[in-house]
Amino acid sequence: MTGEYRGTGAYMTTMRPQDILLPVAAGLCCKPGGFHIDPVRPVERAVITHGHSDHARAGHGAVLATQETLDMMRLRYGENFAGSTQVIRYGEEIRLGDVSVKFHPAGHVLGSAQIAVTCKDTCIVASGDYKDAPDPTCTPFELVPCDVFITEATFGLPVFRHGDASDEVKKLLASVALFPERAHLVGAYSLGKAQRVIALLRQAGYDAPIYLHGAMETITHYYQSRGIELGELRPVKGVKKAALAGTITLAPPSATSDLWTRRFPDPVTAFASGWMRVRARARQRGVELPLVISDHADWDGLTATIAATDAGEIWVTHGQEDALVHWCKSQGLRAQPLDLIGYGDEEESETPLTDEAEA
Amino acid sequence: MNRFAELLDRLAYEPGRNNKLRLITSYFREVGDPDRGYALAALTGALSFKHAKPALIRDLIAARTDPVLFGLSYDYVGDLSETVALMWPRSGANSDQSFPGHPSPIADASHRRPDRERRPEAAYASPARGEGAQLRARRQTSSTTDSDSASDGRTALTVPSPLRGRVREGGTPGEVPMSPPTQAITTTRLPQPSPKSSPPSARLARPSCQGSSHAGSTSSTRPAAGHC
Ligand SMILES: [Zn+2]
Repeated sequence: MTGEYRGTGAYMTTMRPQDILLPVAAGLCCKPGGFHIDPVRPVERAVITHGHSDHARAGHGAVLATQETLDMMRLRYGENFAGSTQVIRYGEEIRLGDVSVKFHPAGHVLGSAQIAVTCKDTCIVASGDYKDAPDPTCTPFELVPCDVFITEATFGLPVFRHGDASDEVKKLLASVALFPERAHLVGAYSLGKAQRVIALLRQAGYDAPIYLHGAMETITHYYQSRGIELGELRPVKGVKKAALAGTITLAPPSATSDLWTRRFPDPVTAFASGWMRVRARARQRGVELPLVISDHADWDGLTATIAATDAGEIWVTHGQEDALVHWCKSQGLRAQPLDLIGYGDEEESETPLTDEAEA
Repeated sequence: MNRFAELLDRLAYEPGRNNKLRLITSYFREVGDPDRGYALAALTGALSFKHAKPALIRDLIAARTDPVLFGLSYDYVGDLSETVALMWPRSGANSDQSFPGHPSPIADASHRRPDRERRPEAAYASPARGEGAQLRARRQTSSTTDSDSASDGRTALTVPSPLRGRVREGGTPGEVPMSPPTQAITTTRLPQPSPKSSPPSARLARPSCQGSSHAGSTSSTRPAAGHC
């Protein structure tokens, strides 16, 4: 390994980035700090960016994460999801072994964080999943200047441009107005996306009760308990078919394509996802009303963020690494795909309808 | 013309005939002239594209995008017209502009200067807002894909009505599978797809990060197979 890295002067006197963070089978390993970030296998000490199931798994010895992330893990896995837990706040810095760890908002879902790992003079930011678009349900993304920026690439192709989520919600409301005798079913991932769609509906002035699929209730009520205003929510279970005319129901994406939908009068199936930008994806899912609303940065967001971190080196992971690595190099940045396994888009993993489920 | 683009999208995904009619009725009630006139012409097959040929579209997009990124995107999306429409650079400040007041937005499509959408006089010339340029790009490329598939764009193209045949087919509301308008233009007229126009779904089923041969040169540490 020695000599492989040809760093600039700034690095030569300090550590090579890969001595600080290195991809291993269990995830991103910080040897000098003695922990893994978002490990996909049980490890002694885990530092976790956010509560989505591909990043936050059960069975670790100790977990360091935000209060919200720990709560979400507890809701999903039960009280004993880890040997011990430690809460860290945004902006708080903690010494772990030879490194210091600082959490910054990632703007992805409630409690999501970027993790800045600093060793001597080198700062690496593992951003986890992030988005730079406004979201009323979580703390906005914070730009963290660093030497090495680790970025996701879920929507790392220039065809993915999400636009304004509130415009998509307007489309949904226009459809509800046009088809008052039909029910509108909105497929949305249950952690983060669903609550954002509800909050956007409220921002747009929709004040009727919004109905929830049973799988949405726990996490949505958790959001409310953290002070996120979502208006009146009702379980859809037990509501008569006729009473659902003209209503909006949020459901996990998988539910919108099964027998469960028969309880709704002539339902319009919507799906809130960044994938809805591409028609073939919408058609694959039998969606009638695609809503381009994403928890992830789009192409413009990814490239703008990378440039703004001022990092000279970019590590690109989960998603369309090739295109983003190519773009970085065209901007004169050192860049490489990061060989991490086990992360995907949570929407896709919740609904494994295609071969791309793991991408 | 954003509203018209929305209508086309919605019609493409909506299987029920009566629901389609409701969408169309609502559009013509809501939208003023001249936009709905253009829309009517498009819907009834009265628009023709003399100059929109695949080579031109490829030149236009090549002049605006990185070829590697275009290649990876095309490989992912699987449809030339859609790829171009999605990648087409935005005119940041004027994304909310009106349909430009212009004698014939279609006839001169190929002569349009790339910076046309930034022309100040184009803004607010029409009662309806819309990314006219984007829509035209989509229209052009629709017919381009068309010709791309069969005639290699040597003939001028007429846009068939996205509605034509559908009403007939739509006799059983709620059961007619539809493709979106651009797709319909391709497939209804040219039932035999060329190798280049394999169904997007088939392409999408492939691991997406094996997109391009260029990719291999980006690094020796390729993502492990399981990652895809
Ligand atoms: Zn996530």
